Parts: sequence; C-alpha cells; structure tokens
Amino acid sequence: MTSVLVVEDESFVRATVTSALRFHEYDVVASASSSAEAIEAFRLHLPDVVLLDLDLGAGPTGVDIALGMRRVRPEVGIVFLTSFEDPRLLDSRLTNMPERCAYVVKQSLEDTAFLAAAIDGCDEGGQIPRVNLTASQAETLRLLAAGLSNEEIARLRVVKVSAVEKTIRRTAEALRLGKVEHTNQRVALAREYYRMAGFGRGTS
Amino acid sequence: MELRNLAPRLPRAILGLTWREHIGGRWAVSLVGFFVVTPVALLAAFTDVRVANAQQALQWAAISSASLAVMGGVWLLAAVTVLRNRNERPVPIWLVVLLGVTSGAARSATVVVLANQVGTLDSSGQLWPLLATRMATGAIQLGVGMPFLAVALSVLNRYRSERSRLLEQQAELVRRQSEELGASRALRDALADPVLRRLRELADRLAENSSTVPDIARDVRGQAHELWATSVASGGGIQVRFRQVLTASLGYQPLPIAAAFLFWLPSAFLSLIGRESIQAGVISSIAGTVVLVTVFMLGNRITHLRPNLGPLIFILGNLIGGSLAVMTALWFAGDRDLATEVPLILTSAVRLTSITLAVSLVEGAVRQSELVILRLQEGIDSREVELRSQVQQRAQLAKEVASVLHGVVQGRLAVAQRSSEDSAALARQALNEGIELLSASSVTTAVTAAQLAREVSEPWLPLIEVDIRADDGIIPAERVRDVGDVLEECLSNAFRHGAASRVDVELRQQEQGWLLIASDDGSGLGEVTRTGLGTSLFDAISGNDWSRKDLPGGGCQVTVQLSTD
Repeated sequence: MTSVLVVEDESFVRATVTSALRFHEYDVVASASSSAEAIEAFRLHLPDVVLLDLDLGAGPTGVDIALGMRRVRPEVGIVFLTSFEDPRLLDSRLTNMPERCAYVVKQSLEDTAFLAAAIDGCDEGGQIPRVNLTASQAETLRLLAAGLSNEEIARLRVVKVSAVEKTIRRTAEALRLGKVEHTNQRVALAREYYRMAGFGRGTS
Repeated sequence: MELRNLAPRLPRAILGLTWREHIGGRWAVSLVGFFVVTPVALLAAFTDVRVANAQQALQWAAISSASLAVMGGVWLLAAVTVLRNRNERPVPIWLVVLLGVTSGAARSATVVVLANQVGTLDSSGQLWPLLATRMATGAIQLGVGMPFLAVALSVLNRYRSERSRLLEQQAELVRRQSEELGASRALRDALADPVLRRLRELADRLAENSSTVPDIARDVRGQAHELWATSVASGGGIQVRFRQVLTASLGYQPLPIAAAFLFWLPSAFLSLIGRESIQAGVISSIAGTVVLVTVFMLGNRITHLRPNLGPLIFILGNLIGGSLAVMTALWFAGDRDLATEVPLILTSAVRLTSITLAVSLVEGAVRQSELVILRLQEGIDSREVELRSQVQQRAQLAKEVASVLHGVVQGRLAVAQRSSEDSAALARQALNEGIELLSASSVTTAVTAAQLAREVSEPWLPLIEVDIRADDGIIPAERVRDVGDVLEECLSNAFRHGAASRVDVELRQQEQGWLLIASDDGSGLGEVTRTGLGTSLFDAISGNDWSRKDLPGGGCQVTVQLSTD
C-alpha cells in the first residue's frame, strides 16, 4: 500500500482529501497543516508520496517543502494540490519546479479518482500548468491584485512607471481583457488574478 | 612636586567632570580659588624680588608668605562664616567679587606694609599712594579673576547635574519604549483580543438567550467609548526642558570671559611694573596687552593650519607672548635695561602661561560637557520620535478597533434593536461581522530587529537552520515590511538556489539604518550572475546599496543596506 502524507492548511480540505484517499485504499500516515508539521511528519513516517498544498502562508511554499523532503529522501513522490492555475501566480520565482511531480488544480478536480491517478502516476511527472503570462507579467499582476499602485509596483520591481503601465497593458492583452465599456481594467485584472488563483469565481 | 604626575590625568579628570567630589558644593569657590591662584600669586610675589643679596631674598619670601597667609585667612573666614551660613543655597556672584576684592587688597596691603617695615620697598616715593595703587590692583585682579573661576566652575557643575538628569531621562525613555514596544507587539492581547473575546461572549449569550439585544448594544457602546478615549489620550510626549536649563545655566559666553580676561591683564601688568608710577603702569599694560593679543592671534592662526601642533603652539605662544609682553611693558615703563630683568620676564611668562592654561582647561571642560550633553539630547530626541510613533500606532489601532465597534457593530445592533422580528438574528450577524473585521485588522508596528528576524525565519526553521545576531534596536513600522521581505528573500535564495542547510543572519544598527548580512553554507553563487526578481527586490529596498560574494569556505554572503531615513 502506498503511504501518503497530506499537507494542507485548510482543515476541511485536509479532512476531505484524507478520507477520500483512505477510500481509495491509500495508507495516509499523517496529515499536516504547516511547513513545520509537514517536515516533522515526513521525517517520522518517510512516506512514499506527499500531497502538498502550494500556499502554506508566510515562509516557505509547498515547493520549498518538496525540495527539503527530496533532500532527505530523493525518491519521494510529490503531488501538488493547489488552487493556483500556475505556481508563478503564488510566487513568480517558482519557475523551476521539482522534477517528477504531479500538479493538480483543485478547481479542475471533478473526481477523487483523479487525485488517486495523480498519486499513482506522480513519478512519471506531469505538465505544470502555465497561464499565458511571462514571469514578470505574473508578478506585476499579483502586485496589482494586492492593491499596489503603479508607482509602488515600479519601486518594488525597480522599473519605470511607464514600464509597469506597459506590462499591465500586455498582461491585459494576454488575458484577453481588452477595453470593455463600464469596466475598470485594473479591477478586471485583479478579478482575473483571483480567479486564476482560485480565490473566487471572478468574472462571469 | 607631583604636578608632573598630575598633569596627564588632569584634563581627563576635568573632561570626565569628576571634579565635583573635590571642589563641589559651597567650598568650590574658596578652594579652587586658592589652589589655582596660589601658584600664580606665589610667582607674582617672587617677581617683586629685586634680589640684591640672600638676606633680601629671605625677607621677600617671608613677606610673600605672610601676604598669602593673610589672603588665605580672608578666604577661610569667608568660607567659614558667610558661605557656610548660606547652607546649600548657591553663592551669589557679588559675594565672590567681594571676597576677591577684599582678599586681593589685603594681600597687596600686607606686602607693601611689611616691605616698608623691613625697608626693602623698591620705592623712594611716599607710602600711602603706593599702598593705594597696590591695593587697587590687587583688588581688581582677584575681584575679576575669582568670579570668572566661580562662573566657570558653576557652569561645570550645572553641566554635570544636567548630564546625570539627561542620563536618567534616557533610561526612562528606554524603559517606556520597551514597554510601548511590548504593548505594540501584544496589540492583539492589549486591544483587539479582549474586544474579540467580549464579542464572542456576547454572541454566545445571544445564542443562549441569556442576554437581550439592548443589553448587548449597551455593552458594545461602552467598549467603543473606552477605546476612543484610549486612542485620544495616548498622544502625549515627554517635554524636555533642556533648552531652558541650558540658557539658564549658561551665563557662559566666550566673549565676556575673554573681555574679563583682557580687563584683568592690564591690572596684572600694573601690579608687575607699575610700582612707581600709575601712568607708566597703564601705558605699559596697554602695550603688553597689545603684544600678547597679537601673539595669541598669530598662534591661533598657526593652530588652525596645523591642528596637531596645537598644544605645543599654545604653550610656546604663551611663554613667548608673555615674555614679549613683559619686555614691551617694561620698555614703555621706562626701564630700557632689559638684560637685568630676565628673572622678572621669565617668571611673568610662566605666570601668564599657568593662568591661560587654567582658563583654557576650564573652557575645554565646558565645551566638552556641552558636546556630551548635546549628544545625549540628540539620542533622547530620536528615541522620543520613535516612542511617539509607537504611541501613535497604538492609538491608531485603538481607533481602528473602536471604529469597527462603533461604526459597524453598534450601527447594526441599533437596527437590530428597532427591528420587530429577527432582532436576535440581526444582532448575531452584527456581532459576527465585528468579529470577522477585528480578526482581519492589521496594523504594522515597530519591532526590535531580533524579533523581526525571528518572526521571518520561524517558518523556515524546519528546512534550514537560521542563526540570528541582531543589535538591540528598533525597526520603525514603515520599514518592517521591507526588512522582512529582504530577509525572507535571503533565506529562500539560500535554500532554493544554494541548497544551504544553515544561514547566519546579522542585523547591525548603523547611523542611517540597518545593515543585513546573510551568510549561508550553500553552493555559493557559482555561475549565478543573472538578475532576477530577488535582486530587483534588493535594488528597490536598499537603493542599489547591496552586494553578494562567495565565501572562502563555500556558500555565499549577501549584504544589504537598509536605510531608515
């Protein structure tokens, strides 16, 4: 039986996923809600596969946790279970993902059997989903959605305000959010970000 | 005597302001007057000697000693009677002038009368005019010299007490600051948490039907009012009365002192040379003063150009200036045979040097104290600014919590109270909304560097060992986020790209802000030269003032300057 460690900070999702995996006859050895708990449980149980949430709050991301676990046990299977349609939307520096890992977007999960398939096939690796944005567009979009002004974004990214404006325009084009009457483009972009990050339904 | 041993320690003793133990209190004037003026007076006494033979020299020595004893007797009498009766009250300046005038006149009178008795008075003229002249010059010398010393010493004493007052104030500020910091960091405990707990309690009571909606509304109103009061009342700061103290204590002005000194000098010349003719004395003292001032100004100029020669030029200038001044004075007094006056010239020069040395030491001590106090004051000012901003943040949070209570919860409760049906459900909704808003309320507060470093690195500890060394200082609220971001970036870089297992974080407080040094044991920079999002974050936050390098034993070190101006 494949032993699995579930790392997820939302208690409802954690409980649901755990019971679903048990239903599919996986040995869920432990579940953890933070990076500290995750590493501790991992060292204790050394599971075959870890099901990891990408966003664990402040500090290291799920990707960092996975890297840390691989340093302890290189053959461990990694399945990311996240609401982000692209890891760069959480942290634009997450361009290099660990090798041999599966990436499952919660919103696209229709059946728990799909999760089971991801666990079984995680060693073969899988496609990391990418939205149609460059890393700098993703970063600008994230900062914009966090409520920063163009000046603040320019300061943080050490570029000119005009460059930020240009990036925002390009981002809108890439996301096909051209000018629509009665819609503020900035609001539309933020909404789209939150949709891609799985925080809401966003625009209809 | 031990003067040579004392000399190196003397300036430090003055600059360290430890004189009060020896000369403080009401004895200061008399004792210091005695110890500073006595060698001077002694020298002056011997300049009176026209040594013809050993017997004459002995006579003059006896006369000088007797005159000094009379002067000391006047001081002792004054100290025992007048000054002592004033208890701890400060001695007024007129009393010091009076003491100087009396003792100076008494000393000169003793010299003239005794010299007249033994017949060694270097005068063929009448006794009474000479006695009057010498008493007047003696009175002027000490009448001006003693108050000057007294003023300088009292300024030093004031500085000393002001310094200890400022040190106490600083300690108090540090204490209050750490208290405020504790309060800021425990904002949830101090302000938001009790309110949150109370709201949850009220919600429970409502659910159990053990409390009515109007009761709950009253409760919330009370809490909101209390918080408003907190947010308004906590704006005060500490008033520093430093400037008033400084103005009050500083009768010290270099110009009046210089003027007093110059005024005193002619009278000194008068006593030196003008023993036969007042007219010759006045002319010679003016000429001598002009020469002396010229030499001083020249010395000043040289010192300005070659500062490290300062002390040497000072002493040489005094000796040369003093000799030249006395020679000039003698010349104008009609004594053209300078070769016979060498002992007089030399002793006068030494006398002058000792006086100016004493004056400049006192002045240096005053200036040094001034600097110490100004630095203390600056430190206190900057701490006060920090403290004020902390107090303001707390007030801001109190206001924020109060406005949630007042604007949201209380408003909704009022609606719930008026609603005939579903009153309890509406009230519950109001309370829940308050709980939600308060849970999310976030005000960034100032934090100690060590605390911030611990908070940022804490989630990384399972992955990477972090060793923190931070100076005891505070990172102001508006920079907390930036410093936190930079540190986070350092940690994640070390872990992700360097595969490090340990990072040493050092936060050094500097004049303009903080220096962050993160050294890891990872794979080093290697080929990593590309600029990424992390480097642009360093650029943005440090204003391009950062660097990174490979460490000799492996790993890499990132140094980021974080200004807080």
